[in-house]
Amino acid sequence: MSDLFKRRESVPGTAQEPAEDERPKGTWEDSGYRMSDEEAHRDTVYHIPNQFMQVVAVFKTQMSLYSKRKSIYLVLVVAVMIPILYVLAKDIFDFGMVAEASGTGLIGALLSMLPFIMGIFTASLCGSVMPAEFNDRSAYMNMALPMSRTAFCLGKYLAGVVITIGVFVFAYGMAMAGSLITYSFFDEEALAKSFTMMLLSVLVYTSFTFAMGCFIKRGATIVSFLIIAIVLPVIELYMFMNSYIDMSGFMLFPNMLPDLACLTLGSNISMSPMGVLNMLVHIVNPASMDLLLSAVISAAWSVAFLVLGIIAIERREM
Amino acid sequence: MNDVKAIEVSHLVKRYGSFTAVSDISFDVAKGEFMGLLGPNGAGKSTTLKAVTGLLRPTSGEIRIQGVDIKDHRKALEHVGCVIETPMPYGDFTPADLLQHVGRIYGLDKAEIAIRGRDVLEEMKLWDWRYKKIDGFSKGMKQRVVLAQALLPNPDIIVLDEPTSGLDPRGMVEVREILKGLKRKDRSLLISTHILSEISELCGSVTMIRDGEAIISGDVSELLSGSRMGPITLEIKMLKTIGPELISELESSTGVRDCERMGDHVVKVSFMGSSEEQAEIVSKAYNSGLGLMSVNESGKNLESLYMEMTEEESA
Repeated sequence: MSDLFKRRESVPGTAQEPAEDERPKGTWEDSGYRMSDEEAHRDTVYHIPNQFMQVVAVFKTQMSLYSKRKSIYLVLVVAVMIPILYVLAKDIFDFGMVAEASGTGLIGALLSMLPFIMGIFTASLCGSVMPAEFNDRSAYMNMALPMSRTAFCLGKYLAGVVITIGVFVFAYGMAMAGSLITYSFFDEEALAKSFTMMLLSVLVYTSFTFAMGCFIKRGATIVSFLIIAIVLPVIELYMFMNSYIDMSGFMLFPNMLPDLACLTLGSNISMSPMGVLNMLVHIVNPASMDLLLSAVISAAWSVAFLVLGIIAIERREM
Repeated sequence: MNDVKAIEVSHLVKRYGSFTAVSDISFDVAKGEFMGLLGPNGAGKSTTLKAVTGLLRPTSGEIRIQGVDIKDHRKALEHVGCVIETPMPYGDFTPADLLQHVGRIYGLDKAEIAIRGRDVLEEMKLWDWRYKKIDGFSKGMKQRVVLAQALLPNPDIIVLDEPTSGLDPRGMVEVREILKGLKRKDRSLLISTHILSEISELCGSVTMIRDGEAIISGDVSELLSGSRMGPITLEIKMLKTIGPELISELESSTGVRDCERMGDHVVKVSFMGSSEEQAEIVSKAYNSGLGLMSVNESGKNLESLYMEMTEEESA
């Protein structure tokens, strides 16, 4: 909740505040700011800030809106559960079946839900943000403000990126905490590589789901999730299995990054079509992937979808 | 710079495929002027206002706000506050949150937002609700929240699309009083509404739109005294009982179409003519020796003008 009108500590040297019924209505006094009546006069000329500051303004607003969403806290609770579940399950479940018997491998096993959660989380967070603006009609207010639609979209998008990164960094932290219960050593290089892939995949997934939300008025959340987490992987696997693309090409699909982030850690499984298939026939070898090229493709993908989404909003008639 | 219009709309056309929503509408709103857009449902009022506020792109034509082309959205709307299509503010936000968001976009610092925020929330009778979630508000309260955000920066120009829809009668009166207050501050207003009394109470000029075309535009008082108007009714009240002499004398006056006695002391005269001819009727009543108590004029108002225009449409 905004503390906009909360009374501040009284400023030394200022006159004692009048009683509630004596206080002039419609003045600055209740805000408690150190300001003269003249300075605070309502006819003070204002100038709209530059585009960057407006992006920041929308970003702050969107962060505030996200802070009220239960789904974010739900995912955080799931992340907190990672080490707890490990403690509960380690004596009855053989984690060696799904990952290398190492600290890093265990992190990979504990993060095996990453691709699924990445898909569903970004779809619900970023895929719904623009449709909600139009369905709830708040867009009629925001887009009639002295602000470009590009700035509006960027602020919204960046808030989604920051929240998603925050959530998944937290999940990595929790997985590492879980792993530390049994192991005291991590393969730092693999961890860094996996972490980089996770960051790239956040950009890829958020930009795609955000763009889908800009194009599709209703059902963008489920459609964007189905496309990026089910349809695309199935098509890519089909292409790979039928030798239309080789292993190096296969691993450059940006939507594979959450899987690769898990598999890089030594996990044999991830919760996605590719992860399940990989467990059965072990088709992917993350060690052979070109991370730099993958980063370039991911960045290009992210920018392309973000730009497409912004163009869709810029051209949208209301 | 002083003759720069607050809003200039020139030859605005908006087409959706083969359907023309707005066809060659032109009008302008001077600084300090209150203009009303009037017309039946689907006439093109909201489309016009959406084009003015950059929510949709005109097919052709030009729109300038304080001399700035609306294509430069940010610059053109810098000193404009609008409520279009009754937007629903974020339900999870409180009015304070919402004003903070809007204030930031306008570049107001936190202190200014607090100061102006209190002003508008008090004006909108929402001060006691400033920390309550908007989701729990009634439709009328949400409408007032949206109005509050439009007025927050104390803009030079206000564009409102049916601002009192959803408000109870008291709320409507209060909003009108707020808008009248803006007139005293030399603000410019462009308002669309179905409520004729709102236009006649607030606006100095009006543009009537029908089927996407501006059928009449100009100063309200000039339009009402225009030649297109139908007959007016003069209700003459006398102190003594009205006899047949006065009735026949009034009936013989130029411009009188009908004369009907309403009880012993009142006569209704249907009249269409010049001001001089109207003055002659009043003077006949005065000179009748029956004691002229009052003369009330009715029928020459925006409602009859609107009805005349919409009747032509249905014909």
